[in-house]
Amino acid sequence: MAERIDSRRRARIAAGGGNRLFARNSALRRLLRIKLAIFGLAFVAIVTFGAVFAQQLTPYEPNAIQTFTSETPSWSHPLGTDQIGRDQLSRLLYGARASLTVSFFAAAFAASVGSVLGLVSAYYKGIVDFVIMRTADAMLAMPGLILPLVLLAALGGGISTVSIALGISFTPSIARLMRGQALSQMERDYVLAARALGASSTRLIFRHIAQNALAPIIVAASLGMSFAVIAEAGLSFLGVGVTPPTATWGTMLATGFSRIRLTPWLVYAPGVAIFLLVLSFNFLGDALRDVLDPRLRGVI
Amino acid sequence: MSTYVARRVVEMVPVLLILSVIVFLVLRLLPGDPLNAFIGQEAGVMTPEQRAVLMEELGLNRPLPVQFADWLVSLLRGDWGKSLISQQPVAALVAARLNITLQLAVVAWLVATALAIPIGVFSALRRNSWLDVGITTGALAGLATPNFLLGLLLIILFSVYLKVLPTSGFVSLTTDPVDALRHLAMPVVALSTGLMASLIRQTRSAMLEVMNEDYIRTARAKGLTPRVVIFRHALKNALLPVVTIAGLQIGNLASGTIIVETIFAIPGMGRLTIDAILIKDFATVQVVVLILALFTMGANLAADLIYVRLDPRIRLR
Repeated sequence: MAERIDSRRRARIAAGGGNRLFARNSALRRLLRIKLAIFGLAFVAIVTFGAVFAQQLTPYEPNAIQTFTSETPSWSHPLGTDQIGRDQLSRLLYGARASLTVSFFAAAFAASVGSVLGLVSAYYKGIVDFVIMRTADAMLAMPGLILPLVLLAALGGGISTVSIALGISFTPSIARLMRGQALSQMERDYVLAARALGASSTRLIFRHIAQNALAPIIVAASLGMSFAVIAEAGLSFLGVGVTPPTATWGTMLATGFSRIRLTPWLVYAPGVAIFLLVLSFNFLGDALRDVLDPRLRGVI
Repeated sequence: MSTYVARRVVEMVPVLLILSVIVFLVLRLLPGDPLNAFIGQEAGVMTPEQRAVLMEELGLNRPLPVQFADWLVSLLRGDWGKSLISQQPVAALVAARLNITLQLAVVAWLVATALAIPIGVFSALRRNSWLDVGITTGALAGLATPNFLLGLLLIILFSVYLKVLPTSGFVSLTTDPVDALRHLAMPVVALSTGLMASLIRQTRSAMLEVMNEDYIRTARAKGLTPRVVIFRHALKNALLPVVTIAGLQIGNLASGTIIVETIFAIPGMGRLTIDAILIKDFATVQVVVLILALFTMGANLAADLIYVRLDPRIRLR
């Protein structure tokens, strides 16, 4: 597999195709040859469709009370109703909005801010590098959810603050990854050539080095999206993420948990949704890595 | 060796310092009344005179750098401050809970590592068999199942339907081992599954890679038994990356305890952290975050040392 991709890449470069990242059609075509990637793309597409058209797909408001008590699934409420009588299916569809929004913006924030910090750190070295990287180390020393928890304690809950908090906590690993990539790129001859031709620092960093160091960042960002789905659900479950009554899969789990002895089935729908979305993002991330740069296997 | 350890420990100092500045600033720059962070909502009903006295007493009207330096000096002296809510010394709160979380995390880590390595090796040796497919699929599923979801499903199965395990509480391994294991069973499974899944994948791919190496072919050609080839030649090399990852993941286990301890009502560090954050008890949050960071960095250092021990090609610098 790796050999085949390499020989193709060589052929494309020989034919003047140049930058592998921007030959998008062929990367996409190769992605679609991986079965698990198709599953991932399909499920993300379904969830996106459900989230965008939630209002059209369900006759109920996510927060409107429909029944007096929690009801088991029926024709009018295919996933039943929760303990204060809200339609589970409507909440699941509206909840997809939170998961997708948070995962997309957190990954985008981390990828952009982290990349810039990593590039600056690698290019300017010295004190700039020291400050940026030691700060990154300090943030990475806080395991998993601690940093978002602390940030959310300061910022307060909500979809936008959760996105920012998760984006910030995911930024240092992207910065570190980008720094490593950029440092190795800077040793290449093309950087020397560009500098000899009089390219400015900014042009050198963003036009030359960044483009060539981007593949692992894209892969890490896509895997970061699955981390964000889990983290958003976890934070909302703990009560510090998106605040009730906004429907998210995490708050739905928390609702189910509070009455787990009476209505355990309330946990199933949001649970399955989280599981499948995380699985899809993982499949997509793995496939992107194999397509963009198989050498990253085991690194990211 | 000892100079290397000493250097690594010295390197931790600026990181911990920056970390404490970050945590200190994030908690101080909260929008709204700074007194809220110290005495809660009652700050709103105080007279201006009372406020002034209290601000003075708590040192809140001094510049931030002075407040930070003060806090740091007393921390280093062993005065970790008092919980703003329960008025107990933070050190006492931490001491009571650290042991519980350590038991949970260590058991989970041991279970994950002890099961993942043999399963990963087995899976690699039986590559593409139906068992291998089953194991790799299971590992993928394990990675995609958040610990809180797994915890809830375990409670539904074992406590609600089968009624065989208690849903909450903690019994120390030293007081009643049997009861302790009954209480630990579900939290440990919830906590260790993700780590186990990722270690199985790592072991399997490392093992597959190593089995293709020339020295394995040489060992086989010499007529060594498969057992010797696998355990003496292949496994020793395949375990190198696995050890590093297992060590690095200890920090994530610590963070996992926050949610798992909440679900199973275990009074540990994780529970202390989330409670302190939820009620904005910042004196406690600052200390707990530093301890968790120290724990993570210590684990990373230990992983690096073990790695060097296993791989004589690596030289400490």
